[in-house]
Amino acid sequence: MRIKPRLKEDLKKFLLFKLEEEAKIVTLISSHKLTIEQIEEIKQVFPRIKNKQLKQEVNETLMAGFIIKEGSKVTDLSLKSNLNKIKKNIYELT
Amino acid sequence: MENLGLDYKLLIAQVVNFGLFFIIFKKFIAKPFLNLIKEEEENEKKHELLKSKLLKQDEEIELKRNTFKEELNKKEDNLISTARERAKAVELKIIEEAEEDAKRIKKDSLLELESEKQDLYKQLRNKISTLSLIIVEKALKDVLNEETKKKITSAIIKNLPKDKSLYEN
Repeated sequence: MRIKPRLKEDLKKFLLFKLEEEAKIVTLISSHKLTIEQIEEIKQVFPRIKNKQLKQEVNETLMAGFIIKEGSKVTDLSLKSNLNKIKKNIYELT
Repeated sequence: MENLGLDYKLLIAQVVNFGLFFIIFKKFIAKPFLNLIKEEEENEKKHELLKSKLLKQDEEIELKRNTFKEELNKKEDNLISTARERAKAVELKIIEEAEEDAKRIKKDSLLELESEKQDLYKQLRNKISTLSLIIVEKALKDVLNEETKKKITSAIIKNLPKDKSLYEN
């Protein structure tokens, strides 16, 4: 099926707009609600998220730690991901 | 002579009669009959000749037949021996091929067995690691409370390495 060039262009623009919008928002996912001090500490470590809109989410499966999502960029500092790394190490060692 | 009982006239008549009879017999009966006998004899001779020729031909044919039969037997023997040799060669080839096939199958089976072994080993490793993680997660879930979670999160923030590429995706 051939897509109309105009439709293609519109879709491209929409996706770019969506990406820009997503890039403006930073999602902070943690196992528990983070305190203001902890958020400030995180901002100090990651200065690029300072001027962005911050959205906080709680996901108990992470156990501890947090995940920072900026558009397509993900920084995973959760205990769950560390355990997964350990699992991978155990698999490679055995 | 008449006193002796001989009648000359009758005698002459009889002689003439006999002569006539002889002439007629010779001309009309004896000659064709002799001709017929001669023809029969000639035919007989021809038949004999033909018979002898046929016998000779029969002998020749029999001789040829025997020679042909001998040749045929020889050819048959040759063919049988050639066929036997070929069959033996084919048999050897088939055995050789079967042996090669068996070797190949054995090799393939061993490789498959080794591959399956490796797969099972991988599955086992995966199960061990998954089980270890499940045990750790279960233990941590029992131990972790809100306060501990906060402490761990603070510790993670404080101990972050300078090189962020280590934990960024």
